[in-house]
Amino acid sequence: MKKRYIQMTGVLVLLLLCLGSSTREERIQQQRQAERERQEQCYTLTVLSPVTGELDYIGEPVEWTVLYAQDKINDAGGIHGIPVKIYVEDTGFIPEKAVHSVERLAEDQRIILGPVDSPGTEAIASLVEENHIPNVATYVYEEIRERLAPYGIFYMKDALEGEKDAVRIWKEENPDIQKVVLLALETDHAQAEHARALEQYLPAIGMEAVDIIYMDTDQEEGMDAVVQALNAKAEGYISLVRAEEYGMLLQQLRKRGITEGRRILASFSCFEYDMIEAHRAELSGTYIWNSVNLDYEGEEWQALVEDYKEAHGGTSPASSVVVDMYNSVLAWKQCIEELKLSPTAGNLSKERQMIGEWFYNSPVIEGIQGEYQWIDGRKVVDICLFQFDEEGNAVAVNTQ
Amino acid sequence: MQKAPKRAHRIRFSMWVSFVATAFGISVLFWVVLSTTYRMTYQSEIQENLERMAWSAMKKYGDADFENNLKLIAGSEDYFVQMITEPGNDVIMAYDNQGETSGPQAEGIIPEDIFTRLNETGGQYNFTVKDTVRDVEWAVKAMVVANVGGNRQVLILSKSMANIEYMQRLMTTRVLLALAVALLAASGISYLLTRKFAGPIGVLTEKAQLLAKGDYQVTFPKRGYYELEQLADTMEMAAREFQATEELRRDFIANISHDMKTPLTVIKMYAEMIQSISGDNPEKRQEHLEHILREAESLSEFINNSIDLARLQSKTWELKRAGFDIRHLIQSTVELFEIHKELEGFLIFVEAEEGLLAFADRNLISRVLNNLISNAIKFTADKKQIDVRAVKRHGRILVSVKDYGQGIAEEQLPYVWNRYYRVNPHEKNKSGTGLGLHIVKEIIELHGGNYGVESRQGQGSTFWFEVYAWKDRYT
Repeated sequence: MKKRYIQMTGVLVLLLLCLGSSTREERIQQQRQAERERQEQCYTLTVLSPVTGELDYIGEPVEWTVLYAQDKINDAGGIHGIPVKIYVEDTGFIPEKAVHSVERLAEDQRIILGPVDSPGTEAIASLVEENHIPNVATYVYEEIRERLAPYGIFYMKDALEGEKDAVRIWKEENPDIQKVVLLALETDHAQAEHARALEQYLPAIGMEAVDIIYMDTDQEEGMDAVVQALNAKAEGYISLVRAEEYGMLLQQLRKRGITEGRRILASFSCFEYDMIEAHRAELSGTYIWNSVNLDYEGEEWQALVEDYKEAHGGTSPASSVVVDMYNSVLAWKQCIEELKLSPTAGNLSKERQMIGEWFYNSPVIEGIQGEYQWIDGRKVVDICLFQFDEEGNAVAVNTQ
Repeated sequence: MQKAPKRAHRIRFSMWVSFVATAFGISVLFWVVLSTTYRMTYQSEIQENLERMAWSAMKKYGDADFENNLKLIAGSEDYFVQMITEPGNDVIMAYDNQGETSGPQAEGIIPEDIFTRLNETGGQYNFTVKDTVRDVEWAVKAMVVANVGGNRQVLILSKSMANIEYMQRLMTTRVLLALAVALLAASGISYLLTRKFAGPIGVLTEKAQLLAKGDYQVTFPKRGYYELEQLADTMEMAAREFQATEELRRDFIANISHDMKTPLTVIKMYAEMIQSISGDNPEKRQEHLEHILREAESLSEFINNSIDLARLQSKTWELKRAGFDIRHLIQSTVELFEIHKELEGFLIFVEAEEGLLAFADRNLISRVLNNLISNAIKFTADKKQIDVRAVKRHGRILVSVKDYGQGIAEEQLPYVWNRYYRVNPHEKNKSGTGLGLHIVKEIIELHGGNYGVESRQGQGSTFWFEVYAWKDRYT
């Protein structure tokens, strides 16, 4: 009996000690938390970007842009007077790295921006779904956005939507152009898919695709496509290829009787300064579309361009990713303000849901180049259609 | 009226035809393959070159030296180069194979519907066309190089394939020459080979003809190849067989004549004696009649044996198998030889179990026993004892007939079962017809059984055979 009593007492004492220590531990954590909050007191946001690696020409502008946006927000007083701190994690265009980052960030982050590349976004999609964490990244396909709703948000305008808008505006500018050929790269499945989709779309705006020509750069350096294009006897040429291939195509078409530049429309994917520089003469009169308007007259944009040029040896931001990521950071700020969230997450899952729903079907937001919004995770924004003048300068034809 | 059958050709002729035909066939095949592959290869080379030159020219379009480049291509590659435009196939420029400006190429080289064809071929079109004026083919490459104001401009390069025709004619003459040489060589080789092969065959043929004429002493020389030596050996073996058969036939004719003539002679003699001498003498007449009857019996036996043998050998004899007691059969057969027991003091011992049932044609087995016992009596010596045994062994019934007579020499044993074979052909009263054992052999073989003989000269012989036992007839 005595022995049993001693044993029970021992167990009780042990339990009390554990309880005490956990309580003590909690107290220490809370103290540390409070200390941290007192010391830091900032809103944090993590952005995943391929700053190094194959896609660094996109990833580095992203890094510059989000940090620029951070500075702009802080210059304006932050969020509710509390500064923001943006962390850029380099994925190196390696999907596994993106996955490791998200595994860690899923513990305490309310939202993640990026990756801005499809492979990285695909790799983390299941983690986003599992953890219900809002992710403004490269969710190109509607099916994935629906499946992840409201957590999968496409950070930029859908390319096919852009192509359709561009063709429509181009047709409005050139109503006599009816029969066109579409040119896409044989090895690029997305281009081929867009070409087929455009072929289906064209009759709705009074045009007809007489042929889809797939460029094979291994066949006479793509000249075979030029022959086919000339042979098609079209009234217009819609190019979906990238800058390098477009440069060759443009040069050959202009050399071989396509004297009216207006008959050529190029996709945003070839909007690169190197290409523009190399083919200024041939670009005259041709059209090209982009999600970003470099000549946008807004003060904020002009200031960004100047700072960008200064940081990049005079090169202007050509890719729409600068506009999109800047807008995404500012949208996050707006979201935090409207939802009245504090720097540290309270009920993380609830706050994630609120943020996801806010982004997935957002209010109309005033971006750095005009209004936009998200509808079902898809970014709805006007494109800019440019026509090159005789000096090879891209002049916006139809901006809204 | 039936046609006379065709005679086969001589080996010399056949070999010559084969060699010449082979040489001819190979030469023709060689010419066809060479001609076709040459044509295909050359055409393919021309097309590839046209392709390469067309792209080279095409890339220069719009450059300052475009026209010079076309002239250079025309002159250096022996091409006809021209540019035409829609809508009426108008010629913008044309250069001949010297690289000089020229008028449009001959009519018919560029099809009227070239632009329609280009619609279907993505702007490039390769074809060959026959120039009916010069009777030569042209290889042509057409490629869209520009689209000016909605009208396509097409670059056309063409090359004459006259060289191919010339080379083919040259090849044909060379091949014909080679064919003539091959045919001569084939004839020579076939002659030499036929001498080597046909010669020994001819010799063997001559010897075979001698054999056919009845010269059984002919020898077949072993010359030439292994197969011919084998043929010679086979022919010699056949000659020996023919000789043995001929001897047997002669013996048979002699024997059969004797076996039939002798009793007939005796019958005739005694009949004449009855007619002339003993007709009125009852005793003598009876004696003579007994002789006649005996000889008639002997003759009848011989004829019956011959007929039976013929039937057995023709395989038309229908076996009537049934179960029967072998011991009873042996005893009843032995009883037929009672007279020998009484008159000559023979002792015939039968050793067989009661109830030992055999499954066979009873009459034929009785015949077998009869022949064996008869032989045993015939060939007995001083010890006039015959043992007949029947035992069951491995599902069969083994029946043996043993005598203690003179026995048979070992070298004669394999032949005792042969037709007309007699162990002692010169001992008249012991020779018989030579059919008895052969009949035994035929009967036992008809039953699917085994048979044999063991003998020692001076000690006697044991003839044995096996038949199925009644119970085991299905095993």
